[in-house]
Amino acid sequence: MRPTYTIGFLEVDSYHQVLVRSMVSRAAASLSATWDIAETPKADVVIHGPRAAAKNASGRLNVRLCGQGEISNNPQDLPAPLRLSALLEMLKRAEADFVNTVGVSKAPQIQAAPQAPPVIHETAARTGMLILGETILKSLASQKPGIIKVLCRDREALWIDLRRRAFAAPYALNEMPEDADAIRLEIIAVSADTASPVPTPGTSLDRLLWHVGLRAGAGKPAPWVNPAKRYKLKYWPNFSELPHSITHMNLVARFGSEALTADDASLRCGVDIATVINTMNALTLMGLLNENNGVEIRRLQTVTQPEQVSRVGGLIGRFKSKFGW
Amino acid sequence: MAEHVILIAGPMGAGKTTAIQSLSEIPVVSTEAANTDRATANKATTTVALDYGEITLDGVEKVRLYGVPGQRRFDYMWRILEERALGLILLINNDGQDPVGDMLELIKDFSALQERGGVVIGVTRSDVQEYPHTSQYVDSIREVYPHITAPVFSVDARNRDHMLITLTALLFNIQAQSEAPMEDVA
Ligand SMILES: Nc1nc2c(ncn2[C@@H]2O[C@H](COP(=O)(O)OP(=O)(O)OP(=O)(O)O)[C@@H](O)[C@H]2O)c(=O)[nH]1
Ligand SMILES: [Mg+2]
Repeated sequence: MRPTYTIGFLEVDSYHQVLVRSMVSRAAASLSATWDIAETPKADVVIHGPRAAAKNASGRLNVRLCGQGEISNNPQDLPAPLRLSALLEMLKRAEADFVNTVGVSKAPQIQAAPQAPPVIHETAARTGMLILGETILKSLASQKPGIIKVLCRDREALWIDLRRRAFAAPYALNEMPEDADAIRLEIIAVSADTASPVPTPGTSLDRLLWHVGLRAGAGKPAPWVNPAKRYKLKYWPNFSELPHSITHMNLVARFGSEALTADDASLRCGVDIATVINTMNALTLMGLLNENNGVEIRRLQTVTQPEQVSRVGGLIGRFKSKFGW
Repeated sequence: MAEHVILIAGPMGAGKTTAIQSLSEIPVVSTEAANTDRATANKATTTVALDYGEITLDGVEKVRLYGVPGQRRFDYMWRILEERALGLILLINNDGQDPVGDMLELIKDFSALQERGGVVIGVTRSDVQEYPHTSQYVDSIREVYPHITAPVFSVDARNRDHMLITLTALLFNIQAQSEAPMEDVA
């Protein structure tokens, strides 16, 4: 049976309480116990604020939130800023400890964290979609982006003019086969005055990149995405022109507010990893996600009203049920 | 009943009244008067006081939609509404004199909302006037507000789906911004 444990707070500000609450609900699928928030500081796990006195430890397990800018070597401390991964790791350790110490009332001490095994993401098969994506990227990155002719079985050619970031398809994109055998690509070298095979205005290349990117890896990372790296959104795709789901929108918004790995994003949004990776494959192909190499990005917003966190979440939930998203 | 205020602002003729009509579940309350400024927007009437519409969710939550008329956005009353607002849909008609400049000026006017991810931009009437492209709006916002990724969509205010996409993106953006851990290094 699934055990239920509680989390309590001791001198933790309301922002962090709300943050923990929302992180716990998003992490629920990855935990083996049900975690409830206790209204009192008497709980299985008690999270202490940076300045709470250690002697007031009242939980089976007591952990401390580091203050802003504080570096701590204590494995029982939760680093600041609080990250979902750190909280999740702590709760998993607590679950393991509690199972081994059933009925023991004294607060067990957390052992030094055993390193979580790294998540291995298999690489994607080389399908026609993946090769097309790679070919487009290579040409876009070259000095002279050119023209690509895409031949699918016995269909008329689909033309891509990368100089104009436009394409023309003689059929609907979802009629395009995805396997490597069915797609043949011809890369056509161009000079400045080479006439475009794509009639003006053509369809925006983004439409094609979104389509190809979502399918290129079939749930596995395409070669242009490293799922272990953190990515940050450069800007939003023009969703009014792209067939999308509410999940895509949720993911895009998250990547817009912080740099995330595929696993981070999956936890944050409560979305399966395959969908996250497909979306990352597409956004990266479109040039909308940047690898975050520890570049400092200053967030000007320093104060968040905690009530807003749950308020918007609830509102989105009601929109979802109203419109059946 | 829980209530949320969403503002819709933009230059004259951007499609604010139309957008609220597309989204609202009640007949929209508007105060229209004859348009004496046909140079700015060639249409018979313009909104002089307010547009108001509503969406009700699960019978327990209400989204109030207010259209903020052009220059009236500086009025005391609108400032109070802004403080209560969850977010802002900024509609910019692509066939205006300087649409990108209009957008930047309006974002500045509502910078408190922008700082918490509470602004989404809908570029209207790009079927009437093709340029500037949405990427030009995006580029100029990124220059001025590099730390915030405001959604920019091309929309038709008459299209309910477009307006729903815009509203949804606004909500997700506010949620993501407010749930991101506070940190200096992202
Ligand atoms: N062709 C086209 N027309 C649009 C679009 N969006 C809105 N309109 C039309 O543009 C006109 C102006 O829209 P309104 O809703 O009156 O604009 P408003 O922002 O309320 O204008 P004011 O109240 O005068 O400030 C209407 O005729 C709309 O139907 C669009 O994307 N394309
Ligand atoms: Mg109006």
